[in-house]
Amino acid sequence: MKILVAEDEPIMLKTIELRLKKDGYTVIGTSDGREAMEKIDAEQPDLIITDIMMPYASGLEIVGMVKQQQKKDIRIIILSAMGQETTVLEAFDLGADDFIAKPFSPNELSMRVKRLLSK
Amino acid sequence: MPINDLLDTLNWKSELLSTIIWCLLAGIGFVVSYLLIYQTSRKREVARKDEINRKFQLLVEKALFFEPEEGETGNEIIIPPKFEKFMRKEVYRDFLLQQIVDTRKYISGIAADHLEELYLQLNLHNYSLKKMNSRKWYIKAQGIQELALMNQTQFAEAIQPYTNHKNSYVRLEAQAAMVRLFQFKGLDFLGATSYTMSDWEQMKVMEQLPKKPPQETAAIKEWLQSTNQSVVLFAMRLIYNYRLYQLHDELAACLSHPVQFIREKGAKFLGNIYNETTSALIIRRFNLESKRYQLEALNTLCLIGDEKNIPFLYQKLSDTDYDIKLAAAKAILESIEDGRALIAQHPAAGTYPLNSILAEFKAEQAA
Amino acid sequence: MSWQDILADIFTYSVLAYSLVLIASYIFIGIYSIGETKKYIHKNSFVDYRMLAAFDYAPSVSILAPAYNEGATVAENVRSLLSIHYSNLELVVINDGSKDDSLQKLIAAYDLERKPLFVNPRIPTKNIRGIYKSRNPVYRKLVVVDKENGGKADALNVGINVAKNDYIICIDVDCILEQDAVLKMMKPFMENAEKKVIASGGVVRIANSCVVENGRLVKVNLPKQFLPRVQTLEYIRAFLLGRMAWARLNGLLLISGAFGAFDKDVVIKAGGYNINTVGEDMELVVRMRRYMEERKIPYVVTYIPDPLCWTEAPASYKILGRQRNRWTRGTIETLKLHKRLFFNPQYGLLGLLSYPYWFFFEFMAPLIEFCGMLIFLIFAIFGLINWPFFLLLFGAVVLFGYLFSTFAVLMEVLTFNQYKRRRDTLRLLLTAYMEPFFFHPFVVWSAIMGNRDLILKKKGWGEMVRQGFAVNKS
Repeated sequence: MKILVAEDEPIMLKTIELRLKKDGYTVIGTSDGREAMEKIDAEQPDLIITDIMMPYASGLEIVGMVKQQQKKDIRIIILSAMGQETTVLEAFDLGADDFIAKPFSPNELSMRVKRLLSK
Repeated sequence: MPINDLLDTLNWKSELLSTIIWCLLAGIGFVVSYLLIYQTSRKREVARKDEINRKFQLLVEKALFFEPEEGETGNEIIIPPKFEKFMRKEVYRDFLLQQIVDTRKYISGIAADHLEELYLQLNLHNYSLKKMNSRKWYIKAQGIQELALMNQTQFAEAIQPYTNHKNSYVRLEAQAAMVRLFQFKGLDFLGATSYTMSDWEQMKVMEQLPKKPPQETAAIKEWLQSTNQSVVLFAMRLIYNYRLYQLHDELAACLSHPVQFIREKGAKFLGNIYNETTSALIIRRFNLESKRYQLEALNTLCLIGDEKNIPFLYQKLSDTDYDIKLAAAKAILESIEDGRALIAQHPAAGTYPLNSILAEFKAEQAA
Repeated sequence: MSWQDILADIFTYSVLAYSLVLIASYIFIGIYSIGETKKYIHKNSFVDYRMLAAFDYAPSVSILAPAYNEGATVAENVRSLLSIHYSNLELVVINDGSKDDSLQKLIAAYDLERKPLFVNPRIPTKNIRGIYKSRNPVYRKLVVVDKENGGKADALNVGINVAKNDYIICIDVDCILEQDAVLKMMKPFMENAEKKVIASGGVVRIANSCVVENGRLVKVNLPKQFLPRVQTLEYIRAFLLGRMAWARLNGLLLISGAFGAFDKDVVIKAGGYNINTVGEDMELVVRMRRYMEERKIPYVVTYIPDPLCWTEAPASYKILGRQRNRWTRGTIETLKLHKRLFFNPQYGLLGLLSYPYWFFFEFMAPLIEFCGMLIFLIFAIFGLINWPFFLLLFGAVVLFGYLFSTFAVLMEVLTFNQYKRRRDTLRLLLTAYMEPFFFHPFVVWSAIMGNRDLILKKKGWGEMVRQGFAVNKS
């Protein structure tokens, strides 16, 4: 199972990558919005975890792009910092499947990923 | 002879200049050497840190994803012995501490608990404490921040006095620390602080509070009565952010507060917890207030959207200020079924600016 | 003593006095700015901006970016501006009647549609032809205003009228901003509990030869060409040493037109930008300060030394000349407009220190230098020069300049350290040592031309021909 993680804070990116690798997934990490969109096209991951605020392209754009291109079987989890309620709601409107607030629990993330991928 | 005099004075000046030139050259030489030496030592330090970084990261990872072995009850993370050596050097100690703290910032749950245990095992809590007792303000503030981030409630009593420290950065870190450790209970310093809290400080403290609203609001009522205006403002922000409907009347009382910006904020914040009495209270002193108050009030009336406000709002369409007209018009749209038609009835509806405003509304509805 | 000697003495002593005061002020600035910079760096060692960027109750900001004939790059520039880390943000791009396809490019790139938004014309401006917003919710922060051509000041005034937020950040549309730029710029407005912060200036760094990808600065390089490189040095001196010191005194007069944040309300009350001067950025700050002084409201103009904004510097003498010419005319126009401030105690520090300093050491300095050179030539022709003495004097002055520049480079390395390679530091130093011979005389000459053109009533901006950001042309 392939997971793409788009997060521009290096420590968070690393932590998420580690947790998912331990769970046995193949992880593709990126800290750039545009690079994320390119890699989604190239690698066709099964699940995407993306931050909302990212350089060049926001998480919203990524969600919009993925759902518009009818890659319906790709699940999307949004990472959000506190105080971004409106944006999170917009993300769900665009088709995101789940969201996790920062600071986040790596174990909880692991469970949510498992749940989404088992559907 | 005058020529000799001239030459003498010139010689004296030349001597002076020569000395100055030598001093300048020495100065330049000194600065350039300092620069080059500094750069070299920085590079070496960075290289050394990179080397150690991997080992530190492995340790942090081990802590993050620590799972106790079968049958073991202890939570001791095995720390490789060479770490003792590292921890003795301040530079490395700081580096490792920074890694742990930075990671802890983004993590919650069990992984976070493990990081805290690692922090304790390495005895870094005493190091942070030492920093807090330093005489330099930026080291103090950093120490306090570390203790708060690593959840060291055991040191809360030591941190408490700093919530009223004269240095604003130390003060802020201490206040934020108390709130981070004890949530709403940590706000007790508001009753005692003699300094004004800037917006930045209020924001940082607010950020440490949990998402769930406070159970007890008695303290908030007290803070609204404070002589410290920033404390009043903070209390109002709490009511606004957590939508504390039960404190509506107390917040509305701020509309009569002697300080202008508090009245203005009062008009704004009531927009989150309004009830059927709010509109009248906001309108009561409308004409006597500043433009900012009036705009906030109109925005809130827009949120309330009560038909009873229409006569007042309609009157405001005749105000000379365009911003007021626009805000009143927007409020009318939200307060009655066909607001546009009502505005169009206004005698000045065919002229600028009401005609422009109507055009904007028409386009919005069409969209 | 003969009249030539008396004349020579008057000349020497007055120039000496002027130079000594100038040098003393440099020394003072150098030392004074160290303390301020150190304090700033210590402050930032434990502030985490990221966690606060998402806050809805951080102050609301509208970025104003006037654009004229930027068709080639405008869509990309807007892209990079839209991805800035800040929650309550609006980006207002003002198309100042471009003759090229700037507007069309934007409409296509961001799916814009025209909206009849009501705009309160608080500041009188040229006509707005249309306002555009995007159909795509992802770009909801973007507002594009199309207007009749009226110049940068007029475009900014339109932006101020359209902006809906409480604070404005005025930038050049081709500036590259760092991710945290807005948050760092807005922090001073939130931090100050006692005095009102009316404006905050940012540092402009030189992006020539830097690697820019997707509207983001990926790698910082020292400019390869001499002219941009010497301007880098100049900017380091001016920003890191000069402005920090002035900000510490609260005497800052100039906020770069390329990057500055303002309290919108105060800007409007002060009257907006002045469209009759080419130095509109400086003139606005002086006028805003004056507004506050006249009403006796305590205020502060702050300054952020972090490298937050990167822009392209002129790489040819011709374009550099036009720029410096324009700066000179702008300075003089501002000084003229506000001559009431000169040594006027009613205006506190502004009148007693800031304004006189600008008058004597920014405006008069090139004139005095030029006259000095002329007189020197005359004396030389008449054989009145004591060469050994003169060479010593010249050497001392040049060496002092070297010391100051070397010190500036050291400060740069100790603080923000943008140019990390040893090779780059040495090149920067070498550039400093070449400056008095290959750069400074040209700057003085451009200033003289600026004076002349102002007297001859020349107006306008000239053209800044875009080189575009190089993707590492080695």
